[in-house]
Amino acid sequence: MSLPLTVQIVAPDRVLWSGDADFVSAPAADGALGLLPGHESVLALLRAGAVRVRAGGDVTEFPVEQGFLSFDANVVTVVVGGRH
Amino acid sequence: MAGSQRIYKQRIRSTQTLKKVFRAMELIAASRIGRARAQAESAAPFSRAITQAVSAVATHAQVDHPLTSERKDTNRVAVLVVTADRGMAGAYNASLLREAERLQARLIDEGKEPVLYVAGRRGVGFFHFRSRPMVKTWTGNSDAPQLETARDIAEELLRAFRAPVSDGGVSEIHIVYTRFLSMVRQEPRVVRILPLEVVEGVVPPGEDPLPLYEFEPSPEVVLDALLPQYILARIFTALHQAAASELASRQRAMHTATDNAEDLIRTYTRLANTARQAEITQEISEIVSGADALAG
Repeated sequence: MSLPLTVQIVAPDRVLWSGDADFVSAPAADGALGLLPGHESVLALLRAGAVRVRAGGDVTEFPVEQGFLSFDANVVTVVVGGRH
Repeated sequence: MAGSQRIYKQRIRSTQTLKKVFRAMELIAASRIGRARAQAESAAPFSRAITQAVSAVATHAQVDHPLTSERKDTNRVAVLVVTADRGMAGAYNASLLREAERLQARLIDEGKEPVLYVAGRRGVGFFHFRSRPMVKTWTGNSDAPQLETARDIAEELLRAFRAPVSDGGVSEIHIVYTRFLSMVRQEPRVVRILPLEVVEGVVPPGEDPLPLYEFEPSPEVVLDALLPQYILARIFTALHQAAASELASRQRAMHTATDNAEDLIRTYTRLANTARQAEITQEISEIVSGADALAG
């Protein structure tokens, strides 16, 4: 079954994760942001925390120090910045 | 006579050694290109994501941000020149430095005062030899750029851009680097990265326009946080392109050098053969004339 969201998590020098998911939650600068299919287009800054990607029953977590997230037409791009 | 034969033999041997060196360098460059291109490719999604986000903010939000508007208080402009650490790459460094000189001449014509930031030992040597002041230099790993170096350069340039005039502030940032077009074509490029001219990533006509975004917390804050990342992405991309170009140029230059060494060896072999034949002919004629003298 294909999942509705296309997710790509990128760092400056490589792609950390890419694939399909049905729910993404991220620690936006002014409160947690949960993204389901059909969400409006958003460009949000992230604060330290974890980005959670749920694909079927699996939940994958990515720690984030800083970065941003863009959501458009069910395509989620998370850019992880800052020094690791 | 035997002397000239020996000299040719020596030359052939030394040219053969050189040929082996050129061949080895060619192979090394060839094997590193693959890695350089793979690195550039794995960094591309980051660059794409940032560029798209920056274009979205810059086009949809009417923000008057210091990083997007022209600075009028100083005429100093920063020029980052990305060269290689080593030569042996044909005209790679020379044509890049020529482009850098042209850019500086143009900036001076426009009444601006270029200040130099140089990456790569060849560029540092070039400007040092001409006693041109450089604000900051980075050397090492020009053929395999590190993220840390890119970060360091980005922070330094951004600091200069944000600094007040008294502290060496600059009003523009230009990069001179070599763009990798294909294995046989690389060309020096000049791009202005600040103030922002979002050129790359702007949606070409016919495609979907950029969506209307909701910015969190606000367009200004988003842009503030994005721009350092954007500068980093641009510089990292430039370093990757330069690395791939450097290796491609070196491979081609070393291939030509190998061919030339082969030509030399062929020429010397011919000369050595002629010398040997001349020696034999002379010896025979000496023996024959000696025998004739005895018989007569």
